[in-house]
Amino acid sequence: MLPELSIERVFRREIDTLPVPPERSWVPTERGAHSVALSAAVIAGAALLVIAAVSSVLDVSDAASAQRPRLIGFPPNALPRCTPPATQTPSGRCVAPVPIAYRNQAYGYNLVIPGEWHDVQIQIPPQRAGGLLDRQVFTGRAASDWLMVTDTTAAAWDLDVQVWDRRGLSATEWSYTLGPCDHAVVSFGGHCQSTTGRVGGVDAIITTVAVGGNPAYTVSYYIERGDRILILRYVINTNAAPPAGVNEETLQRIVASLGLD
Amino acid sequence: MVPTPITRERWEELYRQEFARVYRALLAVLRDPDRALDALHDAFAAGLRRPPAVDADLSGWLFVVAVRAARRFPLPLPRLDRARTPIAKDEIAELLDRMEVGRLLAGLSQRQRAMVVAQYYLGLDHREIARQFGVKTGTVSATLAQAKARMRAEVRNAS
Repeated sequence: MLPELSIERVFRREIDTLPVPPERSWVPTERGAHSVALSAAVIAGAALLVIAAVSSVLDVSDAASAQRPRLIGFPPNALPRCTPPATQTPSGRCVAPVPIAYRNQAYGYNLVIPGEWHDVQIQIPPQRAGGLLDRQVFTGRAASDWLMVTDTTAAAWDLDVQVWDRRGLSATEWSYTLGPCDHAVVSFGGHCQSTTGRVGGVDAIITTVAVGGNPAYTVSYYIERGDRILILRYVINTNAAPPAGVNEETLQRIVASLGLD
Repeated sequence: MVPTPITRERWEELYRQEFARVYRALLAVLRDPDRALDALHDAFAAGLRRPPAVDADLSGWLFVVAVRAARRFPLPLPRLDRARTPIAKDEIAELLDRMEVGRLLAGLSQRQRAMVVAQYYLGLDHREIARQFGVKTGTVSATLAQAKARMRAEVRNAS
């Protein structure tokens, strides 16, 4: 039998021995004492330097080898395999495009996107704008493969960046009234999860919304910028093949590279 | 007791006071350190948006909001600058399996585990559990009775 007092004692004694994480991780917005934007800039800078250094070394080596007969070649199956988005040159080296620093001067933000990505400015018909000031979709797909976007969401695996007139609403209010967490779209208490985080060195509301029954979910970041709100959003859908080399980490890295004026 | 309205600083202070106890309670229910941390972060954010009532039991409130968040959405959240807990999920599962509590809870549903932990670890009574979970006191009593029956069976099987 389990007398009540005995159960309580066992529970308290044993559960109290479970480990807790370090204090710095307890409060969501305090984690990461350094700025995300700064980290992203440092990482992007370091990546650029490494790519530049590797490219120049390989170029020098190619130039040198061009001047003398090639004695020993790699058998085809011994060539190093390149991880997308890097591609292999005939000489066997892997080449990846240099990341692109994207700047939106009008709305004061920067992003670092992978070198093979490009941005598409979405034309907003004035009659349908409704406070939407600017919209850019960043994609790793070739222009010919680029898919349609809906009024609020780009295709899976693309990053949709929107700037809206904030209309006095906070980021939190936006997150559950004018996005995929809209109670009219997602039943309350259903599949919308909201948390706070730091993006671009400022506080953001982050929502993740599952699309009922599908292996898809939408992640949105809401950032207040004066009388505007900046929204970064992507959809992960494991049923839709992502462009080569793109995964959720790619999208998170782009979001984490956000710099704000 | 939580004063209202509450400042972020005050909320953070109260939250920090309860963190370890509530986090451990969540570990016992969810058996996953990352989910427990994510869920507790959600509860922190929820408290910032809408603080608990003045007379609410704070640890109970945080626990229930976190359990709901974990149940509502089992997908992992994007990480970005979120520090990860250095505790491995397998480590916790092994630890719980070695504990009597872990073995007792293992045979229960997540809802039963949550109510059992709320009662026996956080010390909430049936009325408070009912209030926090938004159910009737009778539902709590029935759920706990079923859970206790299962735990007794577990003890009998083990001995």
